[in-house]
Amino acid sequence: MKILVVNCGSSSIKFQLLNMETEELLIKGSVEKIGTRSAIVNLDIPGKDKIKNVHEILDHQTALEKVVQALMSKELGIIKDKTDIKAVGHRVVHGGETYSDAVQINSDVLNEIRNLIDLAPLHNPHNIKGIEVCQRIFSESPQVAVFDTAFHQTMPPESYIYPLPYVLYKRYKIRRYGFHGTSHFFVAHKCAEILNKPYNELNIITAHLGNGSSITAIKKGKVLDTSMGFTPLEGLVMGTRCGDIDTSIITYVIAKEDLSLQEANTLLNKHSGLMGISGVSNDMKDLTDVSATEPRAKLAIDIFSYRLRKYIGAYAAAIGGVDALVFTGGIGENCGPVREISCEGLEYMGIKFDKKKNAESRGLAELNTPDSPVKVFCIPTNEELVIARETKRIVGDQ
Amino acid sequence: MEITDVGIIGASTAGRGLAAAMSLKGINIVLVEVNKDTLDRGLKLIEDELDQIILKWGLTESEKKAALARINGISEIKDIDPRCQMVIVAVREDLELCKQVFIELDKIMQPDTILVSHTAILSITEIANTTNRPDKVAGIIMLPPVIRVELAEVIGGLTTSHETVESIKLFIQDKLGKTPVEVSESAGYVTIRMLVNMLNEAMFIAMEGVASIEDIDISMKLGYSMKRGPFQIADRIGLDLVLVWMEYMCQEQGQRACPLLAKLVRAGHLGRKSGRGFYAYDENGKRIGVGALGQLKKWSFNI
Repeated sequence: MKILVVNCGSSSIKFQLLNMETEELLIKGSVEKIGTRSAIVNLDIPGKDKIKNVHEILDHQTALEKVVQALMSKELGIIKDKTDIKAVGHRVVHGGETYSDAVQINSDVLNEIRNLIDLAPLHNPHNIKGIEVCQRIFSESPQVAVFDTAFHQTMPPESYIYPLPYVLYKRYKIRRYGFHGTSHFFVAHKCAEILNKPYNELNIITAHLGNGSSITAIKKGKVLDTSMGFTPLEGLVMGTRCGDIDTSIITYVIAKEDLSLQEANTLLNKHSGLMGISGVSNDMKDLTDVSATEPRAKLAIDIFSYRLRKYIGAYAAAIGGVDALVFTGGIGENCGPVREISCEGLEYMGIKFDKKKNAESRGLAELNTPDSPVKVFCIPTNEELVIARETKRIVGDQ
Repeated sequence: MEITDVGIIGASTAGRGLAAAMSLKGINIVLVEVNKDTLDRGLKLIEDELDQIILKWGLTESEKKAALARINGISEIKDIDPRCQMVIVAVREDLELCKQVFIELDKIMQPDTILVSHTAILSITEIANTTNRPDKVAGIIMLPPVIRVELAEVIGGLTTSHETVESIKLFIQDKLGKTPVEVSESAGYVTIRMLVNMLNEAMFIAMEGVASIEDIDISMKLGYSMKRGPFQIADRIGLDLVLVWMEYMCQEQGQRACPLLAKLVRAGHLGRKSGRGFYAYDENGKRIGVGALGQLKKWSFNI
């Protein structure tokens, strides 16, 4: 059973095609700069040379048709006909309060995703575009939506209600939703698998650290809390996003600098975080490279890691003790120093961190000493595989 | 028809503003300026303007680079990419010049390309009739600074088709994220007619000694919850441009223009861009006091 996983952005489409009998990745790729005369089609078949072509591609439909043509071409021959693709799984960023699970898309579902545009104006419109295009191209195959927010829908009200006038929740659904759900879901389950214990009996903290970062507290298999909130701006320090701050700063700076709402929004989302503190880069790798000579790069790393450690401690308290702590995402998987600083001094809560293992490890690894009561793992995430599995589960034997 | 490529004729303040605002939203721009020096200076000014926005955190360095890469500056109208789905003419407000440009564009561009005049005062219908596509000619007016102002007035002439007006409105709304307002051809449309009349009255109020320039602005700001008073608005737009509008509107409406505006423009006090206008500004464009008209007090009746 071949399943296509689609992640559609404003001017790009990322996709993976998986054979779900074996969970083997057949091909992955992307189309970038859609809407221009020099759109780029990237195709990457495991074990073969990467293919890169430039075409005039003015819309998402043409982009995906180009991809399908390539898949069916003699040279690649990955599928014979587009009906070989038995189902399409879509990453949809915001499922609001409506969706706590993946769902097969019909016109009602599509309408509801449309209603949620208000909550995710930067993402849901493009996700919808991807769905509509796939419905036209793969009219025979069922489409499934997998939501970034769904995994976090088990949060109780004391986690998701903000201490604001309650009427704002009623009127505009202003509450904490959380994001990166598929990634937290994947690494938490993988962690249970490694520990060889029932997932529903474990308390796990998962830290997805990338250009956007979030940390999730999972109690007995259910999300109790997560650091991103109404939007992906809340919580940890990120590449260019500020994370938690005193919100009065925003109105103060708007008045002082005569900023428009758009400028204030860009300040918090694109000029803050690692970039804003360091003035060097939003990329953790760049910062670790120069941290010995650039004090502000070091400061950025320290703030990032310190705030992460605070969250680990807070979440350990929230779920009443931890069985395992998992790092994932670009930084979580590759940046030893961040893992080390954020686990520093946590022996009192049972984390005995093995600095040597940590410094040497790449990819999947256990980072604690053998006698550590709490396990610490680095687990590479795989959101596309989750989307494909969910799609297979929802579509069943159709 | 989806509008992805736009030609802009003239690297004027309006032309530069349109080019910058649209390229930031992912539109490919061909900016045509016949005078090579003006073109080079124009492209530099666009970059400067984007740098100013970065200082205000409204933009990132990479977004700036991407936007600038989308602007292709050329100096011959005939070299314009015929695939542009829309061309906006933002040359100076001169009917004969404008007609010449439209006649030339009409010859070069594909028959379904929309031709737009960015004008506060010229007749769209008259311009449209010089072309073989009067149904595809319309007007827009976007106040400076185009990047920050979220409004665009879309002007349909007598011959402009409904489809053309709707295409432009859709472009402004979906592609530029601004709000379009449809207006009929009429002197000054909405924003310019309202501003000119409000400013003229404000100047007379100051000249009659009823209240000071600062107090008039304060009254309008606080009284009507306006973000800026009439004098501040005029200073930001540029008093030379406001004077062109004022003279035209007063002629159309048969009324007297307050002489204070012409007095300032003759002195080269053009508003924030020249450091002096109704107010005085420091090198960062921050208001530091009243401009040369501060001495009005001495002349006024109200002593």
